[in-house]
Amino acid sequence: MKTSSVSSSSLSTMLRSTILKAQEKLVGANKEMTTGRYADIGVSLGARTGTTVNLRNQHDRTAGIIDTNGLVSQRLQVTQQALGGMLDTAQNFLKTLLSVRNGESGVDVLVSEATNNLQATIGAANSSMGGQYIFAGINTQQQPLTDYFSSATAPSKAAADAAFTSYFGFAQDDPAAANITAADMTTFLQTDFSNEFTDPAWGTNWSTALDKNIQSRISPNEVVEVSANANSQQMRDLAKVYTMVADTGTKGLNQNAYQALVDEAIKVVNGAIQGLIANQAQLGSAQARVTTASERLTTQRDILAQQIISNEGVDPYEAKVRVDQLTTQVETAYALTVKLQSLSILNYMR
Amino acid sequence: MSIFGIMRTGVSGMAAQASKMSAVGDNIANVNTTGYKRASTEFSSFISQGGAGEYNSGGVSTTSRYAISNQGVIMGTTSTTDLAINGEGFFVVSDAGGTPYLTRAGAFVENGDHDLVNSAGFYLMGYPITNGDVSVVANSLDGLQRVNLANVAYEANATTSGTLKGVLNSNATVVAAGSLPSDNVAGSTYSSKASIVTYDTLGNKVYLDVYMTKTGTGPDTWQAAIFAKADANPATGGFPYGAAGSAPLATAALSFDGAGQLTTAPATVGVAIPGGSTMTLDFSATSQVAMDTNMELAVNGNAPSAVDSVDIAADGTVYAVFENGNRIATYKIPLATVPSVDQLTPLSGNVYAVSQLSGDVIVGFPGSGGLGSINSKALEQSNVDLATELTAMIESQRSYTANSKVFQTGSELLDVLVNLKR
Amino acid sequence: MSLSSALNVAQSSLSVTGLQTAVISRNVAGADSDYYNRKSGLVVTTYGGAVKVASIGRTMNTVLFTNKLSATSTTSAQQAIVDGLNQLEATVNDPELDQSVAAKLGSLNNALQQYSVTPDDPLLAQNVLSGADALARALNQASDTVSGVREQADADMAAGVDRVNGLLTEFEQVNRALVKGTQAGSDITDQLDSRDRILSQLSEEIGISVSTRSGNDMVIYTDSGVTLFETTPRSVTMAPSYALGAGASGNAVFIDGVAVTGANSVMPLKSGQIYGSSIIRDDVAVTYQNQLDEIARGLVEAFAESDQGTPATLPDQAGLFTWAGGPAVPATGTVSPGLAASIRINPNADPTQGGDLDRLRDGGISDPSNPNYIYNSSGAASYSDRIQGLLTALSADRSFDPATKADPSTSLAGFASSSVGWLEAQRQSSTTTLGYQKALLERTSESLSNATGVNIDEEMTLMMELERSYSASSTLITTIDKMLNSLLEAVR
Repeated sequence: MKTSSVSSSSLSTMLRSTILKAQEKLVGANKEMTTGRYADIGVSLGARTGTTVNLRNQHDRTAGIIDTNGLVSQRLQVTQQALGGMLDTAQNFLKTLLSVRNGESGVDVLVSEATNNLQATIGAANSSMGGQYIFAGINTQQQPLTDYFSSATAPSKAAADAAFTSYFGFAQDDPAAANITAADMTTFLQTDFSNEFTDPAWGTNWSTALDKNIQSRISPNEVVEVSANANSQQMRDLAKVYTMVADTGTKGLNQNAYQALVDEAIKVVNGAIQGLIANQAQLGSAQARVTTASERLTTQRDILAQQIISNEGVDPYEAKVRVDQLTTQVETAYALTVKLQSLSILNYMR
Repeated sequence: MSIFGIMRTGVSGMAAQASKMSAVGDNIANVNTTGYKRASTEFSSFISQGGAGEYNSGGVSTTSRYAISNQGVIMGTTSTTDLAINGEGFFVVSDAGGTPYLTRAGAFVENGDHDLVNSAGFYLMGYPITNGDVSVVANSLDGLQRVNLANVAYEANATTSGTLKGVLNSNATVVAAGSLPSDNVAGSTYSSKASIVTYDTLGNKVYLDVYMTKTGTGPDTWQAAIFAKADANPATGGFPYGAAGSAPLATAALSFDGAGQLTTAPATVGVAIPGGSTMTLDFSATSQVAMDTNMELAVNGNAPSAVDSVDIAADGTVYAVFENGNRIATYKIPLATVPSVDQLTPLSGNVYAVSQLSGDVIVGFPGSGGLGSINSKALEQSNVDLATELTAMIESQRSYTANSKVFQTGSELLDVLVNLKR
Repeated sequence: MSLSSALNVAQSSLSVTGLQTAVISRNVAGADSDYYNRKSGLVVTTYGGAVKVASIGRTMNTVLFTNKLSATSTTSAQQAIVDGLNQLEATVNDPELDQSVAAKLGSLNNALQQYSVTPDDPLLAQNVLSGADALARALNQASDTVSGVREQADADMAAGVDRVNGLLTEFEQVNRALVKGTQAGSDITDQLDSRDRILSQLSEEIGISVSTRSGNDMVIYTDSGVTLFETTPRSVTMAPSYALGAGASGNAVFIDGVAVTGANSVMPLKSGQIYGSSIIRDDVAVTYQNQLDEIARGLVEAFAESDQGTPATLPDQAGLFTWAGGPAVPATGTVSPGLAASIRINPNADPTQGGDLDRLRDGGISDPSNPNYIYNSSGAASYSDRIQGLLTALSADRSFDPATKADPSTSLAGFASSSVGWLEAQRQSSTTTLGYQKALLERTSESLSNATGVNIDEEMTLMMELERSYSASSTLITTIDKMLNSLLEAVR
């Protein structure tokens, strides 16, 4: 005969398992309360864990691109500055050329300015940032332009000298230079001299830069060119015009040849100025793209961070309430255990 | 009328009381004897004829009576061979010489010869059961043998019948002909498999593998194929059994109607167990429904094993319980009675002999004709009541004293008479 | 009736009370055992009013017990699956810790991105190499973990098979004693308790169903219907596999000559620890291994170098990531088993192994001596096309083996996170199911315990009754003794 409907064993087991379960939950709730995230993300999110891993990946990647974009825009800024300097120089030189043509300034001023300008331009083109030469194309570990005045044997100077000598039959500082006609001068400048600034002579004597510009990914699917190139036409023109004025025996020319040289120089420097402005505009638009991309990515990163939190996060207040409830539950179970322990007929038997 | 007559009457009274005292003494002595029946002494007056004017004192004569029909209290014990009868019957026992007696003392134990012997040394008698039949001769103790537990040891029975019941899964995949278990090839497949232990004639275990395979639909047909596990391919533990393509021990085709009921009749198949008998396997309790196949197999037969214990049922059947749990009915214990139970002649050892007065013995089985049932693990206590006996004793003592006073008075009267002549 | 029979009856009452007290103390002793069912002495009155204990009864509820057996099997199967998944989850861990293969892949992508902006910075190249190395190692470790989980599951199955065999041997003895005891009519309640205990323990390892034949003779089947015990235990065997690398499959469990685990099983198990472990060993872990192998294959494919000559004639070759079958690139779109275990960074790109970091930028990792595989023919320090190409390859959709159950056409990172999602989805649903099944088991056990267990208070009150009965019988005997005494005093 079985009269009772509850066994002693189930009575104690039930309380024990209640306590154990509540304690287990309490550990989880405590963790969630302090971290603000699910205690076990995998079990709580299931298949969405893949999404949150993906979001974290995207978040990190976006943050990475934003970082590298900082570098890119820094580089662009440096390049822009260098170009700006060159442009100023070229514009001033143009003014000087025009005033010389009108006879307002002397040849000495012109030659010394051209010499200084050549040095400054080569210096600017050889400027580097963080160990990278910014005008070198992708060949960033090598100084792109050889210094024309570094020594007598600079290949660019030697080649220019050789071109002059072979064309006219004497060196630039030869008094015979005064006999050069304006037509000869113009022809020389437009052919043999000009050839010095086109490939292959340019690549051999002047520049080690590669035509290919550095490209940077500024967003997952956007690539921009982030450098100006020493091999660009405006750079060649600048080098050409300064060399032309500084080192084609300008001081020894007769008026007509001198005039022809200045005319040619004005033509070339005009082209260079236009090129520089175009280059600046192009870099400016790149800068704008980088900035826009960075702004967009920043927004994206914030949204991703928000999504990660909304995926993985729990309301700490809710967790706190749960902790309180569980604590109460465990305490009740403890109290009940003690009560049930004392509630035995054994205590009343003698 | 004589004084000697008075004295003789006193003496007869004293003798009668002495006899009663003896009976009381016996009763008190046997107050704890199993199956003892109380003895009592009945008196009857003895009148000598006198004339109208005189009274000739007679005497008293005694008769012994036994309260054999009065059942004692049945007390529980722990031995299966302690037997008590709840009813009017008697066990038939015999002494060493084979003379049959009746008794209610059922404290039997197995002796060295595996006979069941009670505490007084009498053998329990019963009818041997051969092949389940008992040949009983009414009104006679013929055909009874000593119940002996030795001759049933190590009995083996070959399996002769079996049943397969349960449900077959109606959604099982149909297996194409050519790879059925009955084809017995390496690629044979099946729907379900069970195995069962059967016994050959020597009691060796023979494992049979029973394969149930669905072979078709509309009407749904199944095939049962039975193999001896010993033939199974040692590498696969299954097909092919023996030589590939060899026939199974038995196959049976079963078909079911739309309601899942078996339509094959008769639903039996004979399985020749290697080294054993042909087992008739009965499928009639199988049906086909949409649930997992669940087959239950049961067979008879047993391996040889020694008798572990004895079990005696209320109907008097003695079962030998083997170590493997099988039990075999070996004897049937009859109960006997006589028309006048109390007139049986008591003999030493709580046994009773049939007398002229008791009438002839009537033999039957427990449960029939008021013979009562047999309780195992119980003993009938003596039906003596101490209080009654003690009261009788006091009574008898007083009577004896009174009788001696009669004698004494007679003697004194005689004294007076003798002293008249002085 | 007579004084003597009164004495006899009182005496029988004493002995019955004694026996019942013994039963109560058995009950109290077994009150805390899960496998103890309450016993009670069944008292009958014999001729003359005497009492005796005819047999010992035992409370039982077959329906609840059967429910408990199946709940136990299902729970232990689910527990085994959850345990296995939790071990596999070690390869993912908390997403915040960035321990997963998917997170390492993200790190590598970031390193490449930084390198692409400043390709002439060897520190950044080193960063890429470290990221690649960490990714390859993470794949190796994950693959090791999966193998470990499968080997553990295999060992669990083998241990389960041993336990089943041990329990069946024990069951044979108990069953024989029960059959004999039932026939002999002796007290078999303790054996019944033992049998229920063995069945409960058996159901932890393997799903079972039982049927009882005449004479308490029990037959055990697996939940799929294979005979497990019938008069004698059937053979339960499994050859353990000591090493289970990718692509290796474990041995099936055979019961009574029938395979009960694995894809080719005719009568597969449905529950129990052995079943749960077999699911981990033969299904879940294998799928996860395939996913890892596919990630590894995708990596080798994405970083492969192609012939730069025109026209391109040479086959693609394994670049930064190479494998046991390198420098060939594994066949696309299909699992190449064991790739995750053998993937490693190419020594040609690792300066510590005699390689050159610049090859990350310039190409030629697969075969430095063959100029056809060199992308940066100029040798320029800021050549970033190859790196950009790698970034594009990493984010490009590629096709994966659909058998892996993860997104079959997505980017490598998408596939890796889809693999994480698959694993966690399995874990979530299994854990939820386990919680539900545990609650069910608990509830069933509680009901069973309530129906068949011992309540000590009840036993104690019964004992008080027995105590009363005992002292009343004793008083009776004393009184009868006094009565007889007074009679004896009358005899003089």
